[in-house]
Formats: sequence, structure tokens, C-alpha cells
Amino acid sequence: MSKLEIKDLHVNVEEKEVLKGVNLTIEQGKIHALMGPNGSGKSTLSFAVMGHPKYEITKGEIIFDGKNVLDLAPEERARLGLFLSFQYPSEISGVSLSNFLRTALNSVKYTKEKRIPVMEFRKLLMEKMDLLKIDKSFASRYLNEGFSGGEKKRSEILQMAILEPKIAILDETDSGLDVDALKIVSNAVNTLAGPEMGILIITHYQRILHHVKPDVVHIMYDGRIVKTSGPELAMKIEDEGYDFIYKELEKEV
Amino acid sequence: MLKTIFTEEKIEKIRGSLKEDNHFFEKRKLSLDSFYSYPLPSNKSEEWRYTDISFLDFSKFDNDIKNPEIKMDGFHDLLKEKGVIFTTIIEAISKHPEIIKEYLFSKKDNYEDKFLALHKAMWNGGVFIYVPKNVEVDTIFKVKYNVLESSSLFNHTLIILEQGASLTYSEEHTSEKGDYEAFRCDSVEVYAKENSKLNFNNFQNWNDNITNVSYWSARVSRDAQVNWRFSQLGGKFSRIKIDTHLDGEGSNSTNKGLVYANKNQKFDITTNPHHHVRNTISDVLVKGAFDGESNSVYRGLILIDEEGKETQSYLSNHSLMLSENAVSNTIPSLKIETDDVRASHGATLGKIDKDHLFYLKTRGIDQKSGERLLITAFLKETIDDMKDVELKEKIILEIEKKTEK
Repeated sequence: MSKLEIKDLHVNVEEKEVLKGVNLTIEQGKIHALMGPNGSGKSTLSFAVMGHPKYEITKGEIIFDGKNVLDLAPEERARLGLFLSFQYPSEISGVSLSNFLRTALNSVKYTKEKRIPVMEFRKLLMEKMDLLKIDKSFASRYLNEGFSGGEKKRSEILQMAILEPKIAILDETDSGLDVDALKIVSNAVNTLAGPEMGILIITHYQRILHHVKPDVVHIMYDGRIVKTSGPELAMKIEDEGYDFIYKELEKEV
Repeated sequence: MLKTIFTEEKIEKIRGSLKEDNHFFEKRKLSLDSFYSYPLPSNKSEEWRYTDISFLDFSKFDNDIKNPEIKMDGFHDLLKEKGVIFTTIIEAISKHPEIIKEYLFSKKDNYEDKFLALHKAMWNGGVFIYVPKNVEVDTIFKVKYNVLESSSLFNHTLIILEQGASLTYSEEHTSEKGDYEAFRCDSVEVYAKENSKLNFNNFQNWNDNITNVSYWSARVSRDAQVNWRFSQLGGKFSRIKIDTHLDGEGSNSTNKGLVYANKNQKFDITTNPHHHVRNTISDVLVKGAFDGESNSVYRGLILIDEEGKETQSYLSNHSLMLSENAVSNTIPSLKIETDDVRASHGATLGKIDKDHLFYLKTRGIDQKSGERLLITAFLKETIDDMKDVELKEKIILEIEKKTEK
């Protein structure tokens, strides 16, 4: 079973320390939620895990399947089975979603010598689009260009379905979605979740957690994970906001 | 030195090999005189300010009269029965001398420079296409030129579409690899009569042993349409100047092109729409990706005459800089002599977007492949609507290959 272990992770962004010692372990087959107020460092964590060059690791480790991934390029991390669904996916004109997905799939699961046959890929793509109830016309559209907020998130989930990562981080997948779009995206996540995939849902609000049931809930505050508990924690935040966490922290101080 | 290479004896020789009549010979002689009267282009003239051609040394070429290998495809009997002509210009001189006489270099656009004068004196090959009234050519006329050896080549393409005719024409240029250099000085001449439509596709992927100077022009009559598409990948130096004359009300033109330069390549592209009458439309889009120590210039001038009211003319140019050492100059400009027009020009210059690249990497796509995807995506906008899909796919493939170099 695969496991992503983040140990005492410190990250600077433009010389400023944003993550101040994060400890977090995500196992394949489990759904984790990472909640916290804006600016607490949630998105920074997701970019640091994928290896964005702007995020400087000053201390700590990220271990995946027993391997320290900090020395690996983002594409190598992806090939090991890590995936990030972006809060703001890039819009890339001129690259069709299907061409992009085929290139990505070939990079992740195939080699230069052995590529997925085009027909086989078409079949896989259609299958996954059916599964996620995505319109077929999506495939020939340019990557995220002119996509609505909901379409962009569905495009991200479709990529996840094709690439079948072992651990997927969904960064604010629920932001900017209306109720209907949220339901569609949540259903898609539930469809893909299973024993083969570990998921970390990063969210500011708990509304996606009405649709996707997490096994574990973490609260991040000021660059650290300050509380870890069962799904009831999300409900408590829904009722009371983050205030009770702040109070608990004050007491500790 | 030029006087010993491009001589009247040479013209005599061409006359002999083409079996052309005196009409052509006299014109060649006049053009040769003009050629000598023009000074060699230097950066003192506006047209050559950003392009140094002092490297051009005619003694490097075997200046015997030669022609590149040429393959033509797309013609069929039914079209022949309808009166369509698709042949080499050499054959056309003997079979259809009257049409050639009427049209060849006949347009009154007054443009000439040293190279065009040389072309007019020395032209000795190329293609002639004639489409009669209301004939829609249902195939794509394709011409493939392949340069084989050291030579100076003067190809002329003459395309005449009569009223209501339509045609898609594609030309593809390559050269054999080898330890030789060749010089091309060619010209394209288009006459699109009332309500006719031409799609003109050009793709060149020469080896770096080719120096090219081209002049293309079109006269576009009432309600007619000329769509230029050019893809410039190869060569040591390639210059194209395209003049599109919108002569008739309701005429329109699109001109989309891409340039992809690396190493020490030099490109010099000019696209000028001339709006001579009212209610004409032009849309120009040129994109370039510049790598290595390449040096390129793009000029686009929108000209609207006094009579050109209700004209719409748009011009945009986008450059993608792939190397710190590459140079790209862009000079868009407007010359408008009336009011009540809609005209705009814009240019951008940028690098590969790092966030886009990171996004691709998180999907397992490595740096090289990511750059290949992004460069190709950037350039291919200019050929997305190309009617010759086979050629389009080929160009995309060649762009992808070039990213590996």
C-alpha cells in the first residue's frame, strides 16, 4: 500500500516562511480533508508536494512509497503516482484536452518505446468521460480555454481518472462552483475514490464534505496542522466556524 | 561581380531553353537594366534596416540556369475538360502565350526592388494555374519543390481565378541535405477576379543551405477572397514580402503565418494589405517562435487609400522568445488617408509561461515535451483553419521535430 508522508515540512515562499513544520500522512484508500482559514498554508502544501520551483523547502521530508521525493522533478513525482487538482488550472490555447491527456498518459504509464495505441486511448477517454458524465465535445476543446469554473474542475477530475494516481490532492476543488456543479464534481470524486486511491481534499468551506465523506479531518492554521480528528470535526466547524480552534490554541499558549 | 553572373547572355540562354518569343526577352532585358540600377540593399534603407544581407555572396552558387525538382498533384481530366490549366510555366509559355503575356508582371502595383528586378529578368520555371469562370476546383492543387544542388533559382507562380472560380493551392519547399548553397529568388502573382476565392498555402522546411528572397502579391477584385497561409521553418535566410491589393468593394483577405527560427537562422517577413476601395476587409495574424541566436524582423503596414471608407483591417503579431540570444523586431504600422474605418494593430512578445509548464509537469510531462506542446500550440493558431489538412498535420509534425533540435 502506498503512503505519502510529510515530515516536519518547512517551506519558504519568496523568503517568507509559510509552512512551519507540517506533519501529515495519507494512505492509499483513505480520504483526508485539510481545512483551515485563508492564508493558513493549504495551497502552499499542495504546490510543495508537487515540486513547484517557487516553493523552497528549508527543512523536512516528503516521502512517497518510501522514497524521498524532494530531489525529484514534478514530472517524476507525477510518474510515481502523485496528482494535484489545481484550484486555478492553466488555460492553454492550441492544446486539445485529448492530445494533452494522451501525452500525459504516455508520460505517466508508458515509455518512449511503448505508447498507448490511439484507438485504445480514445476508448479509455470515452469510458472515463461516460463515467464522470462529461460531454464528449470536451475532448476536442482546447485545454481549459473558455471553460466555466465547473468545467475546469471536471477537466481536472477527468485527468485524475485517466492518470489513476495513488495519491491525489484536490486543492479547493469546490471553490467557485454552484450547488449543481459541486454535486457533479463530488460524485466524480466518489466514483474514483476506492482502495487504490488516497485523496486529500483541501477546502476552506466544509460544503464539499457533505458530498464526499472524509475518513480523517485536519485543521491547518498558520503553517501547521493544529488538529486531526474524525469527520465530526468538519461538522463542528460548520456549526461554530474556526473560532473554537483559535480558542484551543490560545489555551495551549 | 554581379555583372559577370547575371548577364544578357544568360537571358539569351533562358530564351533558348524556354523557346519564348521576343516579347518576354525584351522585358527581361529591361528588368536586367533595372536590376543593375538599384543599389545593393543595405541597412540604410527602411526595407532592409533590420536585415543584414552582406553575407550574400553570389559566387558561392553555381549560377548555371537550373530548376528544382518539381512534383505536381491534384489535377484530373474533368477539370481539364472544364478549361482548368495546371502546368509548369515553361509549358504554359508555349501553349498559352497570350494569357501569360496579358498577366505576367502586368499588375500596376509599382513595387520593385533589386531582387524582384532580378527575378523578372531571370525567371525560368514555376507553375501556372488558370481557373475559368464559375469553376470550383474540387481537389487541392499541390506543388512540391525540392532543391537538389548549388544553384540560383527563379521560380514564378502565376495564378488566375476568373469570376466565381475557387481553388485551394498548396506549395511545399524542401532541399536536399549537402555541402552546397543555393539561392532562390521567386515570385507569386495572384489575380482573383470578381467573387472568386483562393486559399494559398505555403510551407518551407529547407536545410540551412538555402537563401531565399520572395515577393508575393495579389490583386483581389469585387467580392473576391484571397487567404494566404505561410509556414516558414527552414533556410539560412528567408525573406517574404506579401502585398495584398484589395481592389474591389466587398473583397477580403486573411493572411496568417508562422515563423520558427533557431540557431543562426534569419527571417524577414512583410505583410501589407492595401485597401484601395471602400468596404474591404483584411485580417493579418503572424506568429513567431525564436530560439538560438536567430534574428528576425516582421513588418506589417495597413494602407487605406482615400477611397477606402468602411474598411476593416486588423493586424496582430505575437513573438515567443525561446532564447536570451534570439532577436525579434516587430514594426506594425498604419497609413490611413480617410475616416470611417476600423483598423487596429497590436504586437506582443513573451516567453514560455512557467505556470503552464508546471501544470504540464504535474501531469508527468517533462520539460522538453512540455515546451514542445506549448511552442506547437502557440504557432499552430495560424494554420488551424488551413483547408489542406494533410499539409497542416505535416507542418505540426515538423514544428514538433524542430523543438528537438
